[in-house]
Amino acid sequence: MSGVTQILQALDRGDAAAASELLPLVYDELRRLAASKLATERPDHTLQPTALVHEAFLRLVGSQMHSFKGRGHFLAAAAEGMRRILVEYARSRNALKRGQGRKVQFDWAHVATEADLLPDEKSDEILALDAALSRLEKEDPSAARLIRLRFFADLSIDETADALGISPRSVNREWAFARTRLLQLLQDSAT
Amino acid sequence: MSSARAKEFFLEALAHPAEERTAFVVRACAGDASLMAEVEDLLKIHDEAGQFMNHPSSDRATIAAHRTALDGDSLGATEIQGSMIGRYKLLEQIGEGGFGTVWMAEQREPVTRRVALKIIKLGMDTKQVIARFEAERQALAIMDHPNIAKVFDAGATETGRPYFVMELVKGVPITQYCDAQNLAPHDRLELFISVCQAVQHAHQKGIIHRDIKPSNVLVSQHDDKPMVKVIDFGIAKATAARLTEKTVFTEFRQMIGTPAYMSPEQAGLSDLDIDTRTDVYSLGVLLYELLTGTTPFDIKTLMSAGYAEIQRIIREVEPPTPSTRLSTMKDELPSVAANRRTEPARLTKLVRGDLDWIVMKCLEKDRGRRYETANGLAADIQRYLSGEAVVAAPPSATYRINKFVRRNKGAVIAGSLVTAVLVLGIAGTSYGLAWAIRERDRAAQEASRAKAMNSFMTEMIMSANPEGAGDRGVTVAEMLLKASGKADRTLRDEPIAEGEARTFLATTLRTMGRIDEAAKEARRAVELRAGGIERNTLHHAESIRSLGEIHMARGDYQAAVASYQQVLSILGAMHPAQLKELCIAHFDLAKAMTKLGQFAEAEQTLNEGDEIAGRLKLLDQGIRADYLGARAVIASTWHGDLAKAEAMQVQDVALRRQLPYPILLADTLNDLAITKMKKGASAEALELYQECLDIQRKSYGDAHQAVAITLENMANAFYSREEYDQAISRLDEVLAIRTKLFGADSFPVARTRFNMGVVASTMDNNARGLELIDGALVVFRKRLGENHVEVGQALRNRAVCLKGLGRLDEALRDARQALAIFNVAVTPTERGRLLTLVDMTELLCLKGSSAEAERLVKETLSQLDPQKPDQAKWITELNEKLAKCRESRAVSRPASE
Repeated sequence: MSGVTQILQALDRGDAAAASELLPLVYDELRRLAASKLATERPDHTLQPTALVHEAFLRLVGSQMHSFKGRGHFLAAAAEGMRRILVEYARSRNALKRGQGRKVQFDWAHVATEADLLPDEKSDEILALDAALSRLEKEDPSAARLIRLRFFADLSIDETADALGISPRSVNREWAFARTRLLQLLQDSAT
Repeated sequence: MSSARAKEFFLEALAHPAEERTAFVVRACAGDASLMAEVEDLLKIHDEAGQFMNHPSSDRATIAAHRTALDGDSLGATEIQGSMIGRYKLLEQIGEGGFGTVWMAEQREPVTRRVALKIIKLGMDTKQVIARFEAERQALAIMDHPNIAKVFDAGATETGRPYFVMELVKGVPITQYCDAQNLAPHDRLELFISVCQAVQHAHQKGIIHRDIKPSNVLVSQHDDKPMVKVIDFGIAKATAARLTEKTVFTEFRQMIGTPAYMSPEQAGLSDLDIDTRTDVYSLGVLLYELLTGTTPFDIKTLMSAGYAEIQRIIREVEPPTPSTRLSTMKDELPSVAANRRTEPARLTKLVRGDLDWIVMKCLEKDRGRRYETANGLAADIQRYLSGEAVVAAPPSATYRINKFVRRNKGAVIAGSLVTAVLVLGIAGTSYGLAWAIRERDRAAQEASRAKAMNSFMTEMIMSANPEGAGDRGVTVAEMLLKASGKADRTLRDEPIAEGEARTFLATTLRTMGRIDEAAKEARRAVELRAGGIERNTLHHAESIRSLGEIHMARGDYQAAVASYQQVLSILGAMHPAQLKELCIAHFDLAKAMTKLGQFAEAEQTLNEGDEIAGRLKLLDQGIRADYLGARAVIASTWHGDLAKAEAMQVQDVALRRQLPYPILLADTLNDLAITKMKKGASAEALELYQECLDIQRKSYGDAHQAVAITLENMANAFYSREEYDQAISRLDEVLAIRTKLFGADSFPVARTRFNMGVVASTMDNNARGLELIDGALVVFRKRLGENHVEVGQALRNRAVCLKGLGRLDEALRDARQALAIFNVAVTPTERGRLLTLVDMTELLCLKGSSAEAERLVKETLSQLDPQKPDQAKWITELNEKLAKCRESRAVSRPASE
């Protein structure tokens, strides 16, 4: 039994402290996976959050059935892990081109569909997104959590509903607000 | 900073139609200008957000597809807007998934039109894909159906990836469309029929779709009417086929599609053997989803499973019926129902029955049991819509058992001997458990098999461990009980399998006479089925019925009646009507009622059963014989019409001689013998008993409960013929069998001792009689309590023995005690009470208490009605005793004076 499985079981039993142990494990695995993909693939390789998260899940937890609650904890940790990874990559990319002072232009459809850490402009997007997300976190933590799950762990509405233990209907409602408010925050920062 | 109120009003505004939003915001904000600005800003951004973060990749299908993408050459989409692929100019990306990307493109040559261009993402043998496509191109070209999107072309991009060019369809997945339009179930079915017709058209041209799922069945609105377009014909084959050549991806070669819609044969090792029924399966999944809002197998469960597990689920797990799925939904059901313009309860009721079976027929693992064609499916739905009987029907019990065995094959291989016994047992009764074959037939089958299995098992275990088995050996019953313990653990998470296994254990244990253990299994089975998705199904009824049989075996007829009534109410609510099962259930109930003396009700129940039998075209001869037997018992016991009873039983015996189950003939012979005994024809009765006994010995072996009962009946017949030695020798055999079966201190053994005591005292061997009855009395008191009628019976007979031994005081004390018991008994036995009164009269006389004897007789006579023949007999007897008493007093008085 892996450490992650034990932690998930502890969380299931209501041991909230176990959550802090989960993130580092999940994060390390995601990072390792991402790095190995990038090392062996072409330089313009896209990072696919869903694939990474599922891969990590299979590696850490295995394919046996888990309670949705357990999966929820895992996915929340994975979402946060992916956010950190993407932000790190973006920062390191930006470090290379520091001083260019380009204005950030968003191409919404592409931020969304690819969620990649790709060419330079994407790094700016990621960092701007992360900054906006930090602000959202302060005023509406549940909306921020939703963004992390949907965007960084690339979960569908239904999966997000399961991860949060609420109905897809509620997710849809919350989501309508979360993405609107995030967009508002992003626009504020861009102008 | 966005305030909580702004969020609340923003969300509420979204629930309003776009044109009413402003009015709503003005009203809601009630003059608060800054709040209003906040909300309106949010609404404005929301409207401009377009697809921000609504990534189509979230609509992706499976983890497997992603894993394939990971393991394969995860080429990103390098095509960009405006670039040319062949003669097509990419205009806009309109979709993305595990397979690749879909673009809206413009074709200039030879005609100018907009098309959909699907670029396959994976690194694969493009030449092969195109070759496969070319092979089907002819067939694809002749497909001409308004509900099928045409596939025009295929080719390779500069980077070597295959692409397909198709008719551009502007529509949304059918499931999405139906939910958005809140289509009622009937409208959904109409729409679905046109999907079936499109698929049928393709099938007639020799094209199998292989990947039918909502995203390949698009619906758009044309002149207020929904228009179905099935897309991607020919593509799954071209793309799936290449994967078989890529051994690297063997594991995932079929997993490109969505496992939720994949047929068992597609999930199999070979995808070469796919035919039109594969599409019928996927259509069934689609129909399931249209009705319930979910797929038969949970997409999330499939996603979290590995390849082997996905395969196992698709090939082995039986999905719940749509109505069961609906009834087990919690929070989602109201919105699922609302999307279908109905209420939760009505939706569940609507789907239960015909629609369940139509869907389940599509989802059969064995495609031979599915609809042969998409048209067949459409026709059955049409029949449903027009209120006709559908072709689809619930699976037969035989089939279910076979499936159960198949499901548990893994357990047989991996499990221990005990599990093997359990499952072998089930395999052996594959038809024995079927409802259509009657319970008693089953008992007969199982009894002989159990006998064979018992000796086989004993032999096997003895040979492995010569000292291991004690006096009694290791019985199959013990193995089964171990299996029951094992079921606690191994089947804990499989309520359906557990319910089935426990029902089987209950029936088998009952036929072996392990009633208490059987009851435990049956109760658990009923509990499982009542609380699970099988509630109110045939399975549920079957488990309750097995509990009823156990109540019967225990003599708890009240409980049996309750069980059988429950069975009837479940069966009665089923649609389509389960005629044969209803017939049997009526018989069961009537039989239990007869035992309770509720003859009028029993007769009424049989009449109802007959009415149902009339609706059955082919009535089982066995059921006919059952009804004859039950009616004969009522004729003899209630109507007192022995001649009629005898005639029916003679007919019953003749019928049974034609039928394959000798053990049932034995039962009928026994019934006829009892009628003969009532008529006083004990010689004929003995002949019948002998034939019955021979059959039972052959079927059950020498040491069986049924053999003991027949021997006891024979002893009774010999007793009535005053052939006491014969009676005693039969009872000796009975005692031996029951001691072996139940142990020396058991109740059945005590009863046998009691009977032997009665015979002994009749033979004037009162000392032996007293000894035997004393032994019985200890057990009776211990098992039944001080005041049970059986205790009274024993006390009365003990008094007879004591009288014979001249111990009058003791005799009188026992008789008084017996009378006290009979007077307050819950189930009074008039015969026992009157016999005791006769005895007491005699005893009182013998003791010289004639005054008390007179008083007693006078009081008793006042309770009796000389008009009733059965009571007149007692009046005569009591008067005779009293007369004798007076006589003896007359004789003795002069001496004392």
